[in-house]
Parts: sequence; structure tokens; C-alpha cells
Amino acid sequence: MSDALSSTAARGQRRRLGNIVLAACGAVGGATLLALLAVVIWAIGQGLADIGGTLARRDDASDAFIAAFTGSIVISLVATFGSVAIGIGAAIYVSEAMNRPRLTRLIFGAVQSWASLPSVVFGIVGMRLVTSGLQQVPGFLAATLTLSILAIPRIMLATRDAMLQVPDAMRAASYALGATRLQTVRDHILPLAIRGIAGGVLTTLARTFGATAPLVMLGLVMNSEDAWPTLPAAAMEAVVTGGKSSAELAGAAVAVVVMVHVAATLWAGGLQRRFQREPWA
Amino acid sequence: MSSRRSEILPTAVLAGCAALAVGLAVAVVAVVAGESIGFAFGDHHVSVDVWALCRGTLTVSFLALAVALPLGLTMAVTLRELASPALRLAIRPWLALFATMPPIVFAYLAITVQRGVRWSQIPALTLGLLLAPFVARVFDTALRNAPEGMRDAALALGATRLEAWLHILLPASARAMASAVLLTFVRAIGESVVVAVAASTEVTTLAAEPVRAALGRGPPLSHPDIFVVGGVLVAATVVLHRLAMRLYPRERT
Repeated sequence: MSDALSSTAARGQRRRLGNIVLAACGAVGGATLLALLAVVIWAIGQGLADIGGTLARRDDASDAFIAAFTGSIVISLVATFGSVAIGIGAAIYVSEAMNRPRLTRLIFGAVQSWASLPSVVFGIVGMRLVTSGLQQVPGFLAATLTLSILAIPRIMLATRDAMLQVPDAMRAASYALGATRLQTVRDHILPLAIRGIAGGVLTTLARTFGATAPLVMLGLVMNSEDAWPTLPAAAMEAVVTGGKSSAELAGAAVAVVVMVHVAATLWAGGLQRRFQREPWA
Repeated sequence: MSSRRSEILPTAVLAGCAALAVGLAVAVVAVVAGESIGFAFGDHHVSVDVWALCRGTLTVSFLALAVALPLGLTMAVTLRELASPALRLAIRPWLALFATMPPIVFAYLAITVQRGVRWSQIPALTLGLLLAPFVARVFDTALRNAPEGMRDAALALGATRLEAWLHILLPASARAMASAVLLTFVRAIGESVVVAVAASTEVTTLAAEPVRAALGRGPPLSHPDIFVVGGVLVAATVVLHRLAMRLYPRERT
């Protein structure tokens, strides 16, 4: 490098080469970002027409779409908010109240592995759940339980991350004034971390709303009368069936999933950005 | 720390939540592992060719990584080196949005493309596009821990920006980058719906095969088959994920 440095001409050449490579990276990277944005816009744009087309039909396809829409909303809301209490409570206990650092690290390591499991695995666990009893588990219960197993580790990790952002000085000050661990969490850590936690819950909600593989797997063991229709599962089935009304149904379902995802994620991002801009952060 | 008497109940409730969560984690693994071991070594007939599925998984994920890693790296470079701070702030939420996009969108995309282009590897390439923003995000995080001061010093000594990348930023974050690649690999082998819609039944993975069977598009699988496939999937995911976490530099917490 030192030889090359002595020559101004060689240095200019290196700089030009470097700039060309970086510009190429920028072109490819920018194009990829635009392509991804195009996928989102295409899915929504194409799907809006499909939603109109499906609803205008007033036949089985439009009924199936409305049923799947309601099913998805109810199931993802119940699964996510049913997991909120357990997830946040467990995260508080393990990361703040337990006071056993090694065990804390061990448990969150396991929770990370749990959250990283492929989504189809949750479907397989759900299948076992449905077929375990003598009686068929109702479809609504099977779907919400399956999705809560998917939601709980995500909520735990989001809660822990939000609480980790609260500086240790807060804890130290609170303990120094004689507050117990629980009082510290309740009065100081949770109020500061609540935006981050809310953002995590929202992204988890988007996740359960779009979860496809677990619900498709559940369909394998459910009676069709028992099963609750959901948008992702309906879209997958419609895609396989083929035909015009099915294609429209698939497009409409995918569009709704994308719109919910975009809305929830951007909202969560806004919450978490404001959370990071707090003066103490 | 001594807890007050009035805190016994709330502490017990929180501990109960934690016990429930840990119990669930153990139960998830125990159910899949127990069933698959029971089926694999019991007298049930396992008809699925796990070895062929593993090979399919490797093929599809390597193709997907071959697409995702360069695209993700260029996005990370764009974000870190070329975008202005304001643009960076604007792009990051969208990158998070793309990185967590429901796979069904890409499954729908793969199906639509397959109608026009008859090429059996379209799902693998679509999987690459799905993974690219995830790669960009973990690379971006990995690079954020790289020493800014060393980079500035290199630039001050006359290194070009590209040389600062090649000699400072990338080597300094090599471990984190390796961990990021492993994490992407874990996601690639676990992604099911995008591959399940593949037009050709030759293209399949461990994760996709059960979904494909449930959709009635591929060879039907018995319950033992599904659990054996699930067991292999869980084992591979947990081992690779733990390895990735071990590689990742310890967080300062």
C-alpha cells in the first residue's frame, strides 16, 4: 500500500476503481430495494381489483373471502393478545426479577431458538395437539393455540429488547432508593419500555395474521366443518385449485395480508423510532 | 434482594408466566422430537425419503443464498456507505418491512412468474429475493458494531472508501457476518410456502414437503412421515441457530 500511496496518479486510479465498485453496489442495492417495493405495490394494486371483483361476485367465492377475512382477524387478534400477558410476564420475570444472570441467558437462548423454528414446525405441533385428545379440538381453539406458540417467544424477545434499552442507571437509582425489583419494573422500566413493547406486539400481530404454513398444516387434520377459514390458508388453497374465481380470491387474500403487514410494521417502526429518540436512550 | 410480603403474589404470577413459557418451549421440542424418534425407530412404516429431501433442501437453499447474499450485501453497502443519513433513516423501516414480509406474498409472486416462465428453479430464486432484505438487515446490524474510528483512520491515511471496506469494515465484522450468513441459511431451510408452490415436484425441501402434501400438490404423507421430517427440521434449525448465536460477538449487556 505504501508504494502505491507515493504516486498520486496510482491513487487517483484506485479511487476511481473504488468509486466504480461502490457505484455498482449502489445500483444493484437500490434496484433490489425498488424491486421489493414494486412487489409490495404490485400485490396491493393487483389485489385491490381482485377484492372488488371477489366482493362483486356475491357467490361462494365472495362468501369464502369474507369468512376468511373475519377468521384471520379474530384468530390473529386472539392469538396475539392472548400471548401478550404470558409473553410480557415471562420476559419481566426472567430478565428483571429473577436475579440469576446465567439462567436468564440460558432461557433467552432457548427462546431465541424457539422463535427461529420454521413456521411449518408450529403447524406440526398443532397437528399433534388436534389429534392428541379423544375428541376433535374445535378449529378456532386449534388455530389460536398453534399461533400463540408462534407468538409467545416473539413477544418475550421484543419485551426483553425494549427493557434492555432502558439504561442500567435507572435500575441502580431505583434500587438505591430502596425500591424492590418489582417496583423498579413497574414504576421505571415498563413506562420507559412500553413503546418498544407495543411495537413488538404489533409486529407479532402482523406475523400471526400472515402465518400460512401452520394453518395449512392444521387443515390436514381438521374436518372442513370444524376448521376456521383464514386468508393465507384460503389463498394457498385457491392458488392450488386454479380457475378465475380462485385466482381472484388468492389475489384479494394476499393483498389484504400485505396491507395489514405494511400498516402494522410501519406503525411499529414509528413507535420504536420515537422510543429510541427518548433523551435517555 | 429480599422481596416484601405484598410482592409474593405478583412475583408468583410472573414466575408462573415464565414457567409456562419455558414449559411450552420444552413441550414444542419434546413433541416433535419424541414423535419423530418414536416413528423413525418404531414399527411404523416411514415412506418418505428423508435423504432426498435433505439434498433438495441444500440445493434450494444454496441457490437462494446465491441470490440473497450479493443482493443483501449491496443493499447493506448502499445503506451504510452511499445513502445520506436522512435517506438511511427513511430506508431502514422499509427494509424491516421487506425483511418480515409474509412469505405468502412471495409464493403468490412465484406462482405468477411460473405461469409465464417455465423454469423449475423460479421458487428458489424467489426465496432468494425474500431473504435478501433479511440479509441486508443482519449485515447492517453486524456492520454497525464495526469500529468507526479505524475506518476514519484508514481514510485519513489515504485508503479509498472501497479499501476501507475490504481491509477494515469487512474483516472487523467477519464473525458477525458469518453468523448472519448462518442465520440466513436457517431461514432458507425453514421457508416452506414459497417452495411448496413450485410447479415441478422435483424441487422440494424438508419444510415444503409437508405443506405441499397438505395442499394436495405432492405425494401424500402419512403422519409418521410428517413427524420425521419435522424432527429433522427442528434438529437442523436448532443446531445451526445455536452455532450462529455462538459465532455472534457477545452483546454488551
